[in-house]
Formats: sequence, C-alpha cells, structure tokens
Amino acid sequence: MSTIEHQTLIAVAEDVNQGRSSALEIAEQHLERIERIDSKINAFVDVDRDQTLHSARAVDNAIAKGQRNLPLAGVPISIKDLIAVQNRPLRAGSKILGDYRPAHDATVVSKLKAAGAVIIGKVSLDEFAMGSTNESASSGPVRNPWSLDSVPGGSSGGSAAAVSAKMGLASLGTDTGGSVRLPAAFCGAVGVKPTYGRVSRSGVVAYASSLDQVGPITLNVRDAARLLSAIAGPCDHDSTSVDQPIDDWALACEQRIESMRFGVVVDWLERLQPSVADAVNQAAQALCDAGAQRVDITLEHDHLAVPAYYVIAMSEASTNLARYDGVRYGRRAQLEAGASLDQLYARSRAEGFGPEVRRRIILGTWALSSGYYDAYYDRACRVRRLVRDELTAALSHVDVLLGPTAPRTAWKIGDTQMDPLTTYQMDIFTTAANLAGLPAMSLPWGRDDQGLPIGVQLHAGPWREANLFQWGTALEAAAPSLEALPKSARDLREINCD
Amino acid sequence: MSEIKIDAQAVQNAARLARIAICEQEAIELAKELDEVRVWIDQLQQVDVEAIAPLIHPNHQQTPTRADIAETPINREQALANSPQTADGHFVVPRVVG
Repeated sequence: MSTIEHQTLIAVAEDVNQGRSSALEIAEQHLERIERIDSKINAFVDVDRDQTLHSARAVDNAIAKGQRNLPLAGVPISIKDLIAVQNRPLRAGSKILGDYRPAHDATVVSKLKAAGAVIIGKVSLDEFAMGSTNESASSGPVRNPWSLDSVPGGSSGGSAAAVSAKMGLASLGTDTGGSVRLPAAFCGAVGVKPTYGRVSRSGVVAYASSLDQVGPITLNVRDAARLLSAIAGPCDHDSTSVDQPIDDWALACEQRIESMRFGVVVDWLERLQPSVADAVNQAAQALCDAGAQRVDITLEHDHLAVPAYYVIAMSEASTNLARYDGVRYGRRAQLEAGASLDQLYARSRAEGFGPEVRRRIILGTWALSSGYYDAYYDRACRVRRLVRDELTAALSHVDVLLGPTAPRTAWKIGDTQMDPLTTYQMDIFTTAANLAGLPAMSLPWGRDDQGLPIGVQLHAGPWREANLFQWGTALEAAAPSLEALPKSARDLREINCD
Repeated sequence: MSEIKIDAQAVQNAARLARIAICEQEAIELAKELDEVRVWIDQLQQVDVEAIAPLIHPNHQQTPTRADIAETPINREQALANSPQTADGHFVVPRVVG
C-alpha cells in the first residue's frame, strides 16, 4: 500500500481491484489522518468510523468474490454536507435542519457506492452553500491547509480542504456560482462544474435549482475525469437531468491539443492580483508551446453576469428555502402558549437561518415581489440570455476559454474588508458558466508570493466536458508543481498535516 | 430606477412574506446593507433587454414523462421521523382554527 502523500484515486482503485491493497487498509489510513489533523482544519462535520470500515470490508468482499473493474474500488471520498447520505446527519451547514437524517442516499452517493467508493465522511460548507469563504458554516470556519489562517474558499470549502490535506482522495461538492471551482483554486485542487443536467440533483439540498450542479474535487485532472464518469448520467428522480452521451473522458485526457484553438477573454486579465495574471499568461503560453493557437476574445455583457447571477440565485433560494418551516423536519422555535402558526414559521426561520442566508432570502423575496419583479428578476433573466448566448457563441469558435478562476488568492479568515458585497464580486469569473449551464474546470497553476495556490479556469461548450479534460491534462503537464516550489506552503502543510 | 430604494419598511415587508421574524433595529441595519447590494445590481439597468426573452432555465428539454406506476419511496414512520413534534401519526402545529 502506498503512502497517502503519493496516492491518486486511479492508482488506489487499480490497486484495490487487483488485490494489491485492501479497501479496509486504505480507509483506516485516511480515517487515522482525519483523526490526527482535522482538528486543525475543521473540514469534517461527520465521520462514522464503523460505517466507513463496514463499507470498505464490503468492497473487499466483493473483490474477493471476483468483482473486478470497480472504477472507484476502495477510494475514500468525502461528501459535502449538502448531499444526502442515508441515515447520516444532513445539516447543510445550518442550525435549521437540526438532527435531520435523510431516508435515502442522493443519486450521486448511490452511484459512488455502486462504483466501489467508500464514503469517509461529510464535510463542511457555507450555510446552504451561500458563501465564498466557508466562514458561515454553523460548525465554524474551515482552514486552508496551505495557510491555516486563510479561508479555503467556498462554498465547498470543506471538500477542497479535505482533498488538499489528503483526508480522502476526492470529494463531491456543489457549484451554483463557483462553489466547486473557487475552493479548488484556493486549496490547490482540481474542481469541475459539469454541464447543467449532466449530474442528478436528486438528494441534493436545493439552493438555486436552475444553477446547481454536483461536481468532483480531486488532486489531478485524470482523477476528476474518473469521478465525474461515475456520477454522470440521467436520473428518474431529477427531471432536469439529461440523457446525453457520456464521452470517454479518460481517453480525452490522453489526446493532444496541437493545432487546436483556445480563447482568452482579454477583459478577464484586467484587475487581477499580479501573480494571478502572471499565472494565466504563463498557462496561455504553455498551451501555445504545446502547439495550440490562441484567439483573443471580447465579451460585451460578461461584466453583468455576477449581478444577474445574484438576483436569480437569491430569488430561487427564497422559494427553495421556504420548505424549512420547523414543522416537518428540523429545528422548531420554543413558543409561548397561544402563538400562531405564522409565528412558529417566522420565529423558527429567524432562529434557524444564519445572517447571510436571511439576507439572501429577504433580498430574493423582495426581487420577486410585486412592483420589483420586472425590474429585477425578469431583467436578470433577460441578461442571463445575453450572457449565455455570448459565451456559447465564443465557444463555437474555440475548444475552450482559458482564464482565472478568481481575481485573487485566498484571503485571511475574518478579513473585515471582505464584506458581503466585496465577497460577491469574487465570483466574477465563475458565475457565467452557471447562468449558461456550461461546463468549467479550475486547476492549480503554482502559488503566489505568500505560498497560496492560484487557480486557472477552463470553460467549454455544452456537453463538452471532454474538452475540459483534454486541455486540463495539457495544462496540468505544464503547470509549476505545487509541491516542488520552494518555501512556506509545502512546509506548513507538512508541519501541520503530517 | 432612482425611485426604487430598499428601506426598513421594504425589508419588513419582504421578511413578512418570507416568514422570517426580524425586529425594527435589524430591519434598519439590513435595509442599509441590502440597498448597497441593490445599487450594485442596478448595473443591470444599463443594458437594453426589451427585445430579449428571459432565460429562466439553461436547458430546453420538455419535462420527461415516465410510466404511471405507484411507488412508496418512504412510509409514514419515515416521513414523521425528522419532525420536531408529532402525535398519532401526524405533524403537530399550533391550532389554526377555533
């Protein structure tokens, strides 16, 4: 069995399938690491050692009986606590769900189990996935493994921090406006948001239903391709999932990009932290050095994606979160005798939701209310079409667009300059993919002068995840190694995590 | 759009519609924060969208149909298991009729 530091998802699955490692040993190794280091990172909100070991033994038994070629055999995977795992607490980073335990697995969790994966625990997130820092989780902030006083990004911050610190070999996050890609960028991981409809949302707590997608977070592109292959596909329980052909994404990872074209949106290179701009320029040069052709692109309406996104996301959230009423499940306020049903709802929701969730529900309700609907929600949906059409048109001329994932690297936990409005604007490069329903990927490109990882991002046309994996592998081959770089981050991570 | 502003009254109205109890002081503070967001969102007013149809969902597909077969995804016990208060196989809420 290899040491955790050198494990990859694909190699572990191969070793377990061939009997060179056991799922049980791998699970014990990762559980031991969680016990040892997670008190410093705070990524996990639920670890059930007995259940994890039981699942691992079941995988080993299946293999002993002749089962082979399980694509995720014995791979320990954490699950964002927005996704249902049967009979395990599901809190969505909120107090309002109390001790809710779902009766079923989410479809993606069923698919992981069928593929031989071992669920190693549930991981933290911003409350109801509303945030970019993982500071609003009811279980407290998650720390970035590369710099423990910095945020891991959000909202899938627990997922990215866990993967980066090698507590599990992969994680499932969700991405409504960048919530897989941003934390992947901040933690030096690979994060993929699939095409809308590629992955079932059944069993996933809804934030903004027309934007949400589940996506993998891993330490390399090939692992992400393997994991996405295992969870993709239509689902009878999600009428927005789509039966589209699933390409051989492992094969896509091996295809060359020579004489193919990629786009760079020139506006995206403005107002970036200098080291992020350098990273994108170096990545573009690396693609050219590999024989690809660069095409500079201008998008007229791209700057409107973030405000349109926030109107739509908050509006959809205000209706989706109406279900938390303190009656059918979750936390109920203690009321004086004679209190009305309306008071029960209003008090339970006031006590159960945190400040950012209350803010978004109230603003979303306002944007949908009489007198403001046309000026805000309806207008945002029209701008959404402009953004979608423009981005899709650009992607009809090139295979992928290359740009930054975020304008900067991770900031400090509790940074008072990062007020809600400033934080919303950190989503400037990620929300367009959600508005348009397009696939996108963040992958690491070195670190800044503080030792913090930098993410670069690829966008592709609808259902063309293969392009992300093809170009992502090319970038990964050329990227500065996170581990080989000098100075603080690697040392810090090893000191704190080993 | 200059006549639109989110003030404490607008916050109270929206909070009432959303069934979230907030006090007067919270409404005042929230109004200031949310109006800053509203001003930023007003960028959307810069573009002429009169001739553009709203896009409310990224996929065009029709709602798929399936065979009309009854299933019992959860039983009554499971449906009630997560409720903070139940009695005689029902959810309990404050009295709504006299």
